[in-house]
Amino acid sequence: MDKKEMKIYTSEEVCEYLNKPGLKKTEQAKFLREGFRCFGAGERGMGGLSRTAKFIPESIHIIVSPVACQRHCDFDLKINGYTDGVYSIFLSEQEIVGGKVVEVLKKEILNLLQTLSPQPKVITITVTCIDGLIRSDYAGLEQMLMKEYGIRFGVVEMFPILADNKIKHTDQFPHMVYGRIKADPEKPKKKLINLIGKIDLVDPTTDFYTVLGKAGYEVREIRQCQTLEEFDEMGEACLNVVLSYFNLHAAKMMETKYKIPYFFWNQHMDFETIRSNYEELERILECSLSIEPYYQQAKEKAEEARRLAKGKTFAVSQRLDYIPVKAACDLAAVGFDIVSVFVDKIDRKDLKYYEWMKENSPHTKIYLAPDISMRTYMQSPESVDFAVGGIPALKNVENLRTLNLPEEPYDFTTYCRVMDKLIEQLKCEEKRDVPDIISAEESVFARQWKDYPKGVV
Amino acid sequence: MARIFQSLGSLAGDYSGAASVLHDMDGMIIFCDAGACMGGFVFGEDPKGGKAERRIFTASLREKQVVMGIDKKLKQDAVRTYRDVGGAFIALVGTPVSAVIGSDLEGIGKEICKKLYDERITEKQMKSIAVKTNGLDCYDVGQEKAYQALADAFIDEHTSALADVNVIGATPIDMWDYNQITDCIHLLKEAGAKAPIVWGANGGIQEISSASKVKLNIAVSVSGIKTVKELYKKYGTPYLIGYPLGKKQTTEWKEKVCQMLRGEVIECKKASKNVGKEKKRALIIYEQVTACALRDLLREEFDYGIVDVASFFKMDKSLKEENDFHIKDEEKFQTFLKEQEKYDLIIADPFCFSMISYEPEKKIMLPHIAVSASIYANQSPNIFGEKASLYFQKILREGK
Repeated sequence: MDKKEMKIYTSEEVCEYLNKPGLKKTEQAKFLREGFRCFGAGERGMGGLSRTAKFIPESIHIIVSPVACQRHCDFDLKINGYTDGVYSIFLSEQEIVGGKVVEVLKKEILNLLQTLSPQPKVITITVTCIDGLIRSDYAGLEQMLMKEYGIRFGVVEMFPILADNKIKHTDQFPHMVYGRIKADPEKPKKKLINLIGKIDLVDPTTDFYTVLGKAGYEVREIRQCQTLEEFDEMGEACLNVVLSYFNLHAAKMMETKYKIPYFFWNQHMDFETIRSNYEELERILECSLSIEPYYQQAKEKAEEARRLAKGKTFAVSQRLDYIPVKAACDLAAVGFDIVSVFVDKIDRKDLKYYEWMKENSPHTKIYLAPDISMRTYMQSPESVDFAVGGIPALKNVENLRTLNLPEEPYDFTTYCRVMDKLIEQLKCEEKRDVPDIISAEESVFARQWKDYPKGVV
Repeated sequence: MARIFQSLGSLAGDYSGAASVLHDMDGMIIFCDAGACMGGFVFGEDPKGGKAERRIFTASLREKQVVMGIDKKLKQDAVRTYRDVGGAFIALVGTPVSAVIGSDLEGIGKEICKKLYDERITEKQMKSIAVKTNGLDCYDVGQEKAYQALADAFIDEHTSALADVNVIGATPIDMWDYNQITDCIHLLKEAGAKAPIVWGANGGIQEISSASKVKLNIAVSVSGIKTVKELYKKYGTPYLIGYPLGKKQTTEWKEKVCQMLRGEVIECKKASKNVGKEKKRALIIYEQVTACALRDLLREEFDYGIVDVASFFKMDKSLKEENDFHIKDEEKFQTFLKEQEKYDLIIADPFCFSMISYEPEKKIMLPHIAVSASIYANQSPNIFGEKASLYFQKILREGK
């Protein structure tokens, strides 16, 4: 295939496409994925949905689905240490076809409650695509549990089939979780700030906690709540700081239901943006926050990373927990030479980042990563020194090194941690002292997971 | 709590089983799903990696297509994709979504092949197969369906013989890696086989097409049993169920294969049975064919008197002993455990031990991808053939 036919663009082309209304279908097609999704799907996994439900204290969680769907949630829960209070019900064809899902669940919950001491205060369930199609009605069960047992009930919908809808399942699950809070919206608000949408583990030692603590505010994340009372107290907070788009829907619900205003923290891997976020927070809270020493530290870290990255080229993956083109902007702003960005789709909401790239890093190419043409590209890819996150299309690039990034930073401390990780990996490259993956012990019992050649006997 | 699982929450689904059979067969495999089903298989149950090169795709179905019909988009994407990746056949794998909306996978497959031919993308009309999995069953059922579909679509009585022995049921999900397959092929050659073929490993659809001409079919996991029986009914091909673990079994199995290749009719009898209540007791929770070979090994070489087998997956009557247990729900399994005298040894996947309410004298973790996915895939020993004696001797006698 001619490289011209591949879905590779300049940021200028992307901006032109996103800015131009009324494009013909043929013109649009150039920027859309063709064929089946290349390099797999479901890379990020969806098990996190069940895990988030399990963050609710004093709750149990039941996965109600076909046996095959359970794998996603169950593994995520196990790997992350959530093994207590997690149950599974494997649905049968008869139950699904016969519309008996709710009946089976009710029976099992009632039986289960007889065996549990103490009783859970909240029961959440995860349902999957099949329930999205048959649409079981859990309202009766919810009412019964509340009326007879005082137990709150919620449903996590793991519906990848709705992934392109306006309100996605990934928007719905935080809505469900925070919607279990019981609070009087008219009660005076406490000097409590909820931090919602954070994926990494709770760390109350970062500057966000420290500077707000000094200003007299307590910061709370759902995972810090040990009891349902503490969880309900989140409904008395004076502000929700929202870190991810996934949680915006929930924040809007909390604004209506509990009268808690929200501030969308413009999360970036960029210390200047972090500073402007704090400035906005100072305005909202009408107080002063002492961030200067943290800001200076972050600035120094960025300078060190810039020095180490000099003369190297970088490709940014679509598999990060970041928006890739946003991550590319942030890294380019630090001084990294970003030659390629692999995106999942060309999305209008990312236009501001493409425009920034057009102005500040015009040589960066944008690759539509899941397009089938990337398999052809993989045969003769362009050279690059580092891939930020794994990029299958660059698999055959010689001497390519992969840099891994933790969760997108939100304050100066988490920013410094990301920079530290980058610095550590870049330094390893500099010294060329990264050990190769240690080969498995040669053993008579060893495994080799590779293909056997066809026709060879 | 008959239906609720507390300790063990997940097992490989039927579509993963189907994919594990098909994905080494040189076809283009399409999961009729939204993305997560295929993602679950590729990232959880395929220990080989190399995801980038595989011809395995998701139809990425969305609500709109499900409501309006999946055919059009599926065909369009399949044709566009095939142009880039090729493949010897098209396989459509069913999921809960395609099952609920009642997609005609067979029809769609045929239409894709016709379109490819009409558009001159293929020189002749290719074959397609539809594996009607629905996510409601475990991997073994999906594998069985995939083997059946392959046999129905590709075996051609007019093809000349390319193999003399077919091994069916050796997939990564049941821990058949390159080394174990190599060991199996070597042993079969030692037994006199000239061209042993392991379906999915060295056997692609070309080799499968001549399956009616082989002298012997061997099912090495429970999912291969139905196919070898069908092939016996259809073509009269003799079959063997099982593979050897341990020195004694290896010698006997080799001899059995040798005799069957010579066309001798051999009497299949149980290798061993539970004896001697004063002897040690063991429980093996695993896929039935492997578990039964392990059972014989423990009885024959390690002085275990009572060895019971339990499995979450299909259990063939011919291999099942009186006290063997099919784990359909956790509560009944707990009752079963309570009813038994305490086992001295339990062999199972690491994830299964959370279901055991007591600490046996000895426990041996034998990872199974169908249970714990690829997490322990490299820690699972290849104990094919005589190696099993050495491995268990190290653990049971030398305490290593």
